[in-house]
Amino acid sequence: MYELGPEFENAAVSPGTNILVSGPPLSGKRRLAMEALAHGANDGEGAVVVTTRDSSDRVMADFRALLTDPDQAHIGVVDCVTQHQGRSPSDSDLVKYASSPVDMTGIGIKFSEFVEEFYSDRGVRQNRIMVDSLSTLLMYSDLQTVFRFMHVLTSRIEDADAVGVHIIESTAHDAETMNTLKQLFDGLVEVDDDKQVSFQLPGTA
Amino acid sequence: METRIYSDMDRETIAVLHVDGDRGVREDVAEQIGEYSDMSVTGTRTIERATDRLADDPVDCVISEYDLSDGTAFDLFSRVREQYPDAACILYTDATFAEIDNERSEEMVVEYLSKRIPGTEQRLPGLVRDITRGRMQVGYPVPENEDERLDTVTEYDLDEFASSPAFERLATLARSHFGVNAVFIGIMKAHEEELLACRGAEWSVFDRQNTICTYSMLEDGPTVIEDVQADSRFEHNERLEELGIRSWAGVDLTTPEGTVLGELCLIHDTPRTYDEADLEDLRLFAEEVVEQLELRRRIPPSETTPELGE
Repeated sequence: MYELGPEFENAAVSPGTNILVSGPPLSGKRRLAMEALAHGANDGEGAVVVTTRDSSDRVMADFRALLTDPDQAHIGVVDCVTQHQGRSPSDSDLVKYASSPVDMTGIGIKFSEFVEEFYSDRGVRQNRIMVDSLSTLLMYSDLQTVFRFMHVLTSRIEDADAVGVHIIESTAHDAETMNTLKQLFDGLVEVDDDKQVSFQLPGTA
Repeated sequence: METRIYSDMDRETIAVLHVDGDRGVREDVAEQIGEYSDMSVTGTRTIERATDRLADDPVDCVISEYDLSDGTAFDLFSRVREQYPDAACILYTDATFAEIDNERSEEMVVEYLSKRIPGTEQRLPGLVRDITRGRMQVGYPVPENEDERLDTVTEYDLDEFASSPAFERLATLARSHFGVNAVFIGIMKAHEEELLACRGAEWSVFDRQNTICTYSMLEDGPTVIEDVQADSRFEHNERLEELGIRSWAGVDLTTPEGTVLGELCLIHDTPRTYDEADLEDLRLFAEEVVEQLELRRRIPPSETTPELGE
């Protein structure tokens, strides 16, 4: 089981669970998702962040700030932003680059490389994945493409016995889009304007 | 209108097409996949030849080397998905990720397996099975009980029913009752919606990913989309626009055991609304369709009386 920590009312979810965290801008949903990853990373688990929104520098800084011993943690960031802005850095142990938020093949490959490396090479059996965010993906691609891509990604997370925490801006999409995407997730976490959080997680009442 | 139909075998045997210029690789893959009785594989070396194959035989999965003599795997995958939108696509290649043209691969959701890692060919059969059986690369949601639902759909001998005038008659009645352009009775199969009857248009089958029924069958009760172009799920759906489907109302065809077989749908070429009484009538029409289906399922065709089968 994966303990999600105090921010999630100490809920625990089974390996393979994918959770959608939705909320309006500035509601703290991103920090909440990061807390879920940090709770595992502080315990020796792997943490992979797929970012289509902020650069890896920013993600890495925010995430490391939540860790008790950041240098010992197994962290990986799939950065889909930096190359898209015209720069061409090369992959490192900590950061791998996809060419853009619509480079679905690239994102999938880089993500799998991290999970495989953590699992097989480093022997890290528990891994948590954060995708930030579905809303950026929807800005660049239509719903069908995003659905197809997220279907593959959530299936891989499931196959790897990892846990996925995926972020979406609730105010940016209509009910039909939200309902279609929700089909891909086992659990829902909603944050409202007042930063109140409600949980619908599998296996918890 | 899509005219071809995926083989009915598609749920039993996974049909794989493998494209690679290297004969040795084709033989290796044929050997790996050939070991499993639930898969069959055909190998070929160019996009042109692969395209000919696609025209003759339906595929569930295409495996390709990136560099082919007449293009790249992504040229091939685009053609495959045009014809079989649900087909799984796997890049099985010598090319490193850096050598792959990102521009071309954009928005294509495919699996990547490097030939450079020793022993990867042994992973292919498992990967093919996971992606196709798990519908991993499919671009739409399916009901939770999809496998059982498809088994139930198979229990109704729909080819036999399609020739029955009872369904055309119900579609005719519904069309004049609601005053819409077209009415159809659609059964949702694994990759396609097949129409048992259609009045007001010459349609017989749709790719599942292009249908509104795919979404409405996940909702309870009748679904009305007053303006299809104002709905985020369908605003980019060129197929619906081509067919002139601007307004849509539908209700599930649900068996007495609660399985959704398909939808009874009303189509109009301008946005329109339906009131409660309309939707109640639509529900009654759907119940009638299911009743006809039930009767035909229980009575083998040879014993069908003239009153039932005409």
